[in-house]
Amino acid sequence: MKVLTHIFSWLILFALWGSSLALAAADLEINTPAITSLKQGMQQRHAELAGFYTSGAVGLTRDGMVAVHDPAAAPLAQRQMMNSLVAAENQDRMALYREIARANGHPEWEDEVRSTFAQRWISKAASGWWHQNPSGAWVKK
Amino acid sequence: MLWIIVTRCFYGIRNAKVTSSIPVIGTRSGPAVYNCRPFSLIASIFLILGIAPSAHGQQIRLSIEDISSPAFQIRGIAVSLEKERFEATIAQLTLQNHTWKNVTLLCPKIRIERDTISCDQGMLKEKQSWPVSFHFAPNAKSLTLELKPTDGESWRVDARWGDHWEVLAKLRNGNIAYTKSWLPDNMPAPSAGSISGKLHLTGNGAKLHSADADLQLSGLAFSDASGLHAGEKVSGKIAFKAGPDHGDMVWQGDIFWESGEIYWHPLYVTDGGVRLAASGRSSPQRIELQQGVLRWPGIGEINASAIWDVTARKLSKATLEGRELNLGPLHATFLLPFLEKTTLAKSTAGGKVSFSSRIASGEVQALEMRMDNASLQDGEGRFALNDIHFKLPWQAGSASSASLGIGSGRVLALPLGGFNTTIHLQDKDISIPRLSIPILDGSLNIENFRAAPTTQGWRWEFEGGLTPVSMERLSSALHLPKMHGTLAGVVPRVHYESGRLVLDGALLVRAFDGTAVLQDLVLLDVLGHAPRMQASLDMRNLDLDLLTRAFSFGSMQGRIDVTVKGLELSNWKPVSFEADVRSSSGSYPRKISQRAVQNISALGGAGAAAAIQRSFLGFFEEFGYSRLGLSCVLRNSVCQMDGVEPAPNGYVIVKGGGIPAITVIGYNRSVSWDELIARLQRVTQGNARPVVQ
Repeated sequence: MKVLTHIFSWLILFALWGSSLALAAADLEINTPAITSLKQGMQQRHAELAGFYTSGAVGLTRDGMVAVHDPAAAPLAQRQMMNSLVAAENQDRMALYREIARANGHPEWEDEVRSTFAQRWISKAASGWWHQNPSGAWVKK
Repeated sequence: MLWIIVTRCFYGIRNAKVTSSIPVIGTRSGPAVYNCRPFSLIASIFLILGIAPSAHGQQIRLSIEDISSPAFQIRGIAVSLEKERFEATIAQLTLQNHTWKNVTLLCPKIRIERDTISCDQGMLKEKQSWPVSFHFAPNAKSLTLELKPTDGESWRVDARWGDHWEVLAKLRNGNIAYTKSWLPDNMPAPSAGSISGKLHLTGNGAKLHSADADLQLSGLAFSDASGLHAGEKVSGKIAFKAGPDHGDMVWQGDIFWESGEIYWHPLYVTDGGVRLAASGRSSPQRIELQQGVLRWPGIGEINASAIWDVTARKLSKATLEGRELNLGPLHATFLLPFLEKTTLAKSTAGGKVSFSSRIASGEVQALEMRMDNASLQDGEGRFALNDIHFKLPWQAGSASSASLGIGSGRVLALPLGGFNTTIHLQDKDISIPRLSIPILDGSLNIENFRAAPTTQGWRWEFEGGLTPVSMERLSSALHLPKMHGTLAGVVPRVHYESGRLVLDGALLVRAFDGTAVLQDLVLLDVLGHAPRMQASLDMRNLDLDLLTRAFSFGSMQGRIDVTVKGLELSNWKPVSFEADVRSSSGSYPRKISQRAVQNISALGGAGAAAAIQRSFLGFFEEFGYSRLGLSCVLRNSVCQMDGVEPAPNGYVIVKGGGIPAITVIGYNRSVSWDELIARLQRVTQGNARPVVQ
C-alpha cells in the first residue's frame, strides 16, 4: 500500500512537472489579428490611463487587471471617463489572456497566462504607480 | 431621598455610589429596572446637584459603574462637584453603534439655583475640546445646550420633555463632517462642508409628531469608499415639513441644488440650479409621493407620483411625465453615459421630447413618447439623422403602432433622403413591414424587419434590396475615385442574435457592369473590440475599363472574374483568403496600357517596372493580351502568388496576344500582405504618369 502511495505521489509530481514544462513553452508574444487588435486598443487607451496611474487613482491588481485604487485622486469630472477606461481595459485584458491561451492551443492556460502577465505589468510599472502585492495590499512602486 | 431619585430612572444600573462631605447619602448595588423617559440620565445626574445649595463649599461625588438600556450603554460615570467646579466623566458611552471614550464635561463655574442649573463657559472634551454652555431646568423639564467647536460655528439644542417632547436645533456653520459617523455605512460620507438653519421636532415617546427643517448646505463634499458616488463644493437648501393627518404623516419637501458637482455613477452633473419639490403622505405600510416635480435648467420639468409598498419593498404604482424636454442636454447628461458601448457612444442630439409612463407592480405598463424636430449626430461623423419625428404609444401586452419620420440623414459621407414608416409593436416585439430609405438616385429597401428582446440582448432580422444607384454619384458622395455604372443588390434574410450577424443566402450586387455575389457572410462580435467577418465573394464579368478608371490603375480593357474563398477579416483586416482574378471567358476587346503594365509589374517590385521603361516596349502606349490572371492565397500575413500559367522562374500574369503584345511575368511568389497593400496604394494613389521614351 505504501509503495502504491509512493508511486501515485510520483505520478502526480510528474504530471505537475509536465504541465509547468508545457506552460513554459507558451509563447506570450504570439500574434493573431485579434491579439494585435487588442494590443493596439490597449496602447491607445494607455495614453488616457497613464495620468490616472501617475496620480494613484488607478493601480495594477495582482491578478493582471487594473482597478480604481484612490478615486479621490481623480477630479469628479474625470471619474466617469476613469471608470469607463478601467472597465474597457479589463475587458481587453481578459480577452488578451484568453486569446493568447487559445493561440497557443491551450485555452486552459488562461489563468497562468494572466498570472504571468500580472507580474510583467507590475515589473514594467513606472515608479510611483500603485499596485497590489501578492497578499492583495496596495503598495506604491 | 437623593439615592431614590438616582435609581428609579434607569433600565439597568449597577453599583451607584454617592459620597459627600455632607451627611445622609447612601449607596446601592445591583441592577434595577424601571420605565424611564428621555433625559432621565441627564436629569438624574443634575438632580444630584439639587442638594448643591446646601452643599456649597462641600464636596459631592457620584460614581456609577454602568448604566445600560436598549438605546445606550454608559460605563464608568464619575460626577463631582467641588465648590463651583463641576466635572462629569464617562469612561465609555455607546449609542447606536457609536462609541465615545473618556468624555468629560467640565464647568469651572456652575450656577446652581433653586430651579435651574447653568453653565456659561464649560468645556466638552473627547478627542477634541469644545466650548459648551448649558441651562438645565429640572422642574420645567427643559435643557438648552450649545456647542461652539470653532469660531463662528454653533450647534444649539433646546429640548423640553414631559407628556410630549420637543427639540429645536439651531445650527450655524456646523461642520457637516461631524455627522459622518451617524450615517449608515452604505451611504456616501460627508468629508467637508457646513450646515446652517433650524430643525424642529416634536413627539410623544418614540413617536414623531411633527418635523420642520430649513437647512442650508455650503461647500459640501461627500463620497463613498468606491468614489462612484461623490460630490464636491455642493451648496443648496433643504426645506421639509411633516405633520400628522388621520393617523398618517403628511409631508412636503423642497430641495434646491444651487451649485457644485456631483458624480453618481455613471452620471456626472454640474452647475446646479436644480430644484426638486415633493409632497406626500406616509404610514408604516406605505410611502406615497403624491406630487414630485424636478426642474432641471436647460432640460425642463419632470413630474412624478409613486407609491412605495414598505412591507413588500417594491414600487406598487408610479407615473413619470416630462413635456417638451430639451433632448440635447437630456441626451448628453442622462442618456450618453448608458450608451457607452454602443454606436451612439459619441453622439449628440437636439430637438424636443415628451414622454409619460405608468408603472405598476414594479413593471412599466405604458409608455408614450413624442419627439419633434429632433436630430442625432455621431461625434465622429459616421452618421446623422435630422428632422426626426417620432410618436410612440406603447402598452404592455397589447398591440400598437408608432410612427417614425426622418427628414434627411447621412451615413459616412453618403446622404440619405427623408422617409416615413410605421413601426408595429406587440408588447416588446417590434416589426416594420416595409421601409424605404432614399440613397442618391436609388433606395435601400428593408422588408419584414422584426426585433425582439432575448435574455442575451436584442435579436433582429430583415430582408430587402438596393434599387440601382449611380456609381458616379455614389463615388462622388463617398469621395472615392470616380466610378461608372450602377450599384444594385438583393439583400437576403439577415439575422442578428447574441453578437452574431448571419446572412442567409447570397447578397447580390451589380457593379462595374458585372455582378458580385457575397455569400456565407457571418459577422461576430459586431460591436465588440475585435469584430470578425467570414464570407465568400464571387464577381463575374467586371468591366476592367470602368474598374481601372475608378482606381487610377492605368487603362485596361476587358472583363475579369474575381473569386475570393474563405475570406476572414478580424477587426476589418484580412486574416486569410484564397483570391483569384482571371480574364472572363467570351469575346471582348483586350487592351492594356503601358501604365497598367508598369503598375502590375510594380506590384512585383520597383526593378521590373524600370526594366520595361528602358526597353523598346516604351514606344507603345497600349498592348494586346490574350488572358490575364493573378491569385493570392493569404496565410499568416503572407500572400502566395500565382498567375495564369507557369513561366521560367515565375508565373505569367498577363499573357500577350495581338500586335503589339506584352507578357508580364511575376517572379515573387511570396509577398508580405502589408507590403503588397503598400505597393497597391503607391500605384493607385501615386498617379504619376510614366515617362514614355
